[in-house]
Amino acid sequence: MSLPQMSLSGAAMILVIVVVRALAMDRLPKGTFVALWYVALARLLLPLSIPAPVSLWSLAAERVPPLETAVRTVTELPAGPVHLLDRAGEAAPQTAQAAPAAISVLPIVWTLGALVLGAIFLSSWLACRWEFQTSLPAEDGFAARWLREHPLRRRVEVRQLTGLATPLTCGVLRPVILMPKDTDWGNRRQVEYMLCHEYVHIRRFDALGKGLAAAALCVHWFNPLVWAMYILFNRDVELACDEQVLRRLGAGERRDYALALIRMEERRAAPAPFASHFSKNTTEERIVSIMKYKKASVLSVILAVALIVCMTTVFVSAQAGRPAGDAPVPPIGDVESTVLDCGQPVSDENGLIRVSGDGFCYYRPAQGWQGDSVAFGSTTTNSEILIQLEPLSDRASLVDMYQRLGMTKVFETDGLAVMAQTEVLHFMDGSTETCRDEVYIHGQDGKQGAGTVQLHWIEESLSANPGTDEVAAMRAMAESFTLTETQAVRG
Amino acid sequence: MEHSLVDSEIKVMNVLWREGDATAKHISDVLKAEVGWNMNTTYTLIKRCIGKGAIQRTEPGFLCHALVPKEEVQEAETNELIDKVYDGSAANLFAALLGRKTLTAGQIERLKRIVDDWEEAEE
Repeated sequence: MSLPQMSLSGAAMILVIVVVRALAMDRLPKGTFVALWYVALARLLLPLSIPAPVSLWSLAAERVPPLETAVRTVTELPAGPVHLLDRAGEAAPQTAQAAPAAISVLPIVWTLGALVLGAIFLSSWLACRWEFQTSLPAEDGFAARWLREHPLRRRVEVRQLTGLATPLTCGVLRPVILMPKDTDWGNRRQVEYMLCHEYVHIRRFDALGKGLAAAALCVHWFNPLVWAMYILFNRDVELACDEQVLRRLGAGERRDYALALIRMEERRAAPAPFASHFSKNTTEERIVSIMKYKKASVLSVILAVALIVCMTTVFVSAQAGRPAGDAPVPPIGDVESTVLDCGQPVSDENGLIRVSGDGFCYYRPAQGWQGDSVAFGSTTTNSEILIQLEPLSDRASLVDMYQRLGMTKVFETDGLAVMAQTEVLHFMDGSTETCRDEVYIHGQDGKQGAGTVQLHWIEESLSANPGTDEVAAMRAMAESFTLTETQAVRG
Repeated sequence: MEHSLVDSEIKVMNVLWREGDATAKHISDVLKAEVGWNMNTTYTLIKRCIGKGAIQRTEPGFLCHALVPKEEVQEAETNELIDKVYDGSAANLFAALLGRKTLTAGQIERLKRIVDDWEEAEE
């Protein structure tokens, strides 16, 4: 999956989470949202998706009954007629020059942005780590004793650092809790709140999560919704942490816990009398959230779990059967490979099954489509056929659509319409090949295989334009197909 | 208040006051055992002390010499240094974004009122 696709599907998920967050912030455990953000992070950072039985796209595809089917083939002519090559020769240089310019600028801009943002994060992280190195062992043994009573698999160290206003934790595998230099160790309760808060952060690997969020921001810096996710994720991590602390301490402690938090903020408060007293800030959000804390009800926990499972399934599997193009194609199912029986079926990125063997390749659409749209080409004559199946209800509108796309209608009968145009394929190595692009639009009632259709068309156009090079070439190709096609369909 | 050092710098000075002139290597070894610093950390702090005029380093063997006696050094006020770690780093760039800004006295009062009013409403 490409980066824009990852960014887009990630953005869709962020939007949903933002809406759910706005609607159910007070009704669900705060950890729910952190879990959802992790799903979004996975969506943004992992290029692969896990196949799942249900995805948005397969659901959407199933709802559209394929009344009529368009079969789009790109057929390279082995011995292309001269006039086709000439037409291609005009088009090729323009396309070849325009394409690299359009393609190369965006990756450079993206790389620069990602590097700059990455450098900012990395340098700030390194600068903090460097400063944290100068910390001193904790002056008081209380913290060490508290941590012995709350053991973790990782060894946690408590140190003190001059210049810190609030405690923080540094490191993931060997975490160090850094307490402010002027910590009032005598105030056992306040110290316990601080330690408990940091302890929960360590337990939940929040430092790692924040790092992942920063990484996602660097990769998707051009996506405003990822910035929104970064901000909300950092907030929700704190809210979920506070919630967990209160779960451990008991709801009765929430007032003291909130006041301890305010006292921490007070220590670095700026004496600016004219600043607005009413602006909402993140500390206020935390205080209100702490005061609202209630023990999570069974129902809210069930809802939260259902929500997480649901979102994970729908979004993570979203790309399982999604084609590179826009048209939804159902996921790959069983192939009736016995019908063709000439090789291992291979599914390609367009959601089509390609069965190749013994000089021929066949393309069958995946399960869920009518079985009459087999197309094929000869691999020995180096021809390649790509088929795209589009579920559209009306043949006339399909013909119209392809005409607007620049194709010419070759002919139309009540069972079939054939559209065609010449195309130049540009390959990665800079070479080009001229192809004839054909679209067969036919109804379900005919039950014709594409091969039959092709032959039928060749014969029709031959009688209409006797002696044409193009048709002769098509006929030669069609003849080489005929025998195998018949065998395949009958077999 | 001639010399104002932070506690970590005073740790370095303590080695010199206690043991007399010493090499950077020796100071580093002592502090590694004492407070768990690695060599780079100690060297950085020695450099900071040199910058503040508290240590003089002479060439043969990088011998460090305390320029100020213990009595003349005052530990820097912690309040002045609050959050120098964040303010000095690029993390500051994102501080506003993450709502990590210092609150005014008025905002603090408001927060306290929220907590107090809550309790009254509940009881």
